[in-house]
Amino acid sequence: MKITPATLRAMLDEFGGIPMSEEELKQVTPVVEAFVAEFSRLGELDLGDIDSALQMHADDGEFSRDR
Amino acid sequence: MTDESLTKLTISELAPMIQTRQVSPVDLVDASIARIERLQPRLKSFINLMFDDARTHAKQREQAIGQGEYLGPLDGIPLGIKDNLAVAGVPATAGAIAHADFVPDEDAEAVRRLRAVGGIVMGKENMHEFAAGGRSNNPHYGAVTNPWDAKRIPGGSSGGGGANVAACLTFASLGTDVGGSVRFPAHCCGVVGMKATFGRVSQRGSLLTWGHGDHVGPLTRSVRDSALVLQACAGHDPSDASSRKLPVPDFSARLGEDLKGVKIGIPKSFFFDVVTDDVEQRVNEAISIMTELGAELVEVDFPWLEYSRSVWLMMAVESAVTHEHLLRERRSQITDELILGMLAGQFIPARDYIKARKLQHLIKDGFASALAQVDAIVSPTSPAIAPLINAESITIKDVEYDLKLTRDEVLGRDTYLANITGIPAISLPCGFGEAGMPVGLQLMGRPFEEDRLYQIAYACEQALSVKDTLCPLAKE
Repeated sequence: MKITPATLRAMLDEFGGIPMSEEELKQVTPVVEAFVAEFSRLGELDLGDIDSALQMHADDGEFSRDR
Repeated sequence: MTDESLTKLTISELAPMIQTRQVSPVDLVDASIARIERLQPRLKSFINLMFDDARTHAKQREQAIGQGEYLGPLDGIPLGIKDNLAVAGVPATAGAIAHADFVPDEDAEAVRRLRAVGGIVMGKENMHEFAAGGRSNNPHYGAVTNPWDAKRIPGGSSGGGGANVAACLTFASLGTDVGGSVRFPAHCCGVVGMKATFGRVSQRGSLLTWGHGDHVGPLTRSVRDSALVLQACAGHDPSDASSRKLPVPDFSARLGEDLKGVKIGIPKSFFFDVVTDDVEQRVNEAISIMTELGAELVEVDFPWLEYSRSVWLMMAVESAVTHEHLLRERRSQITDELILGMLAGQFIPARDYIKARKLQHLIKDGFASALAQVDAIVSPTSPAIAPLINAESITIKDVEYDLKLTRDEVLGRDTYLANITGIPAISLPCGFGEAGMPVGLQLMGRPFEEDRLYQIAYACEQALSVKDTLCPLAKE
């Protein structure tokens, strides 16, 4: 997905984001593009019925308690 | 024994000498101060020194021990504290000018526990700015150098702690690990770094945490010392919501047990996909030693890891929120490289963040399934030896990885999974790679079974030839 500084400027203005200069927007654009590309890969997974990890502790799951 | 030679000992070697008054805490602290004054200008490993406080505390401990009030193996031992952990009355900069005027009025809980058993804080240690990277090339307080080779990074973000312990300026350091920040400097500096299970050590007083994976943990010169320091730090803290109310086992209890019947998981994928030849060879040699010691090797696989980077990137989203006040009010005081990463986080849709959280659940389940079959999973701690301080990229198996734009991700690819799953993980030296630089072996275990990890790590440590090898700077 191609992201432009203009897209990010619109998001900042419309959603009340942390203010950024035009130069910062230009520099951050490839970083955001890389982030979005990585997150978009999650579209390959069916995550609808999966609980969020926020609901879990480190020892939740199937760990053996046999000590 | 001279004062200087005392600083080369481990905590477990010194403790009985302090208990029986063969070694004075005052002399030990003075010896540590002498080394810090001599080597700190080269290492750039401290941000604030606390010599007056350390001497006062040492005198108190010496007097108390003389009266029979010995507090245990950390009594009278000089320690360093990473500068994102609160020490009452001392600035906690987190390696950032933007945070330099923050002076906490109470100790971080883990620091409080260390001091309660006689540990003596020598100073606050240098680190990667805001703990947001692995190089510790701090633009405000100096680039920490590696005591094995001053041209190389010490790792990070707890780089000052790794350098101090390796160069024998301190006997242990308390660091923090959100993606490998204790284990990576352990790998780079040839020391032991432990990240216990999420919830085992209180995070209270750990500054600027990203919440979903930060851990407080020790850097030491031996596995036994690591168990001693973790023992002092661990335990439930009712004032920390992440702290778990579980019994704390004796972490030293299994040291010396053999590996017969122990099952070691060998990852089929991911952990050995990106690794330099020298690191892979040292890790494979350590695995061979484990089998000679009686361990059984079992291949394990982890689904979903090809997508795991998105879980790691949640940190950028969280940091945009955690640091919003600094980004709005003190942005000119923060390094451009960090600002861009933080600001980028504000553009990630909540939908993607939640998907990543769900994926995190799947990854945790995958590790749970693997750890139901084995006692520990082995991997390199990092794919390559410590890079040069000014390196902008690193080449692994003919692929060039950008170290600047990717915020050190390739160097942390083997460590961050223990953070997003919360499982305990330890790094110990397993040999030397290119340019004679240390190589770390990582062992990951079941939640709240740190004693098992220590058993395996100790057995490896005792069998590996790297044991007792000090870095060149430690000999100066």
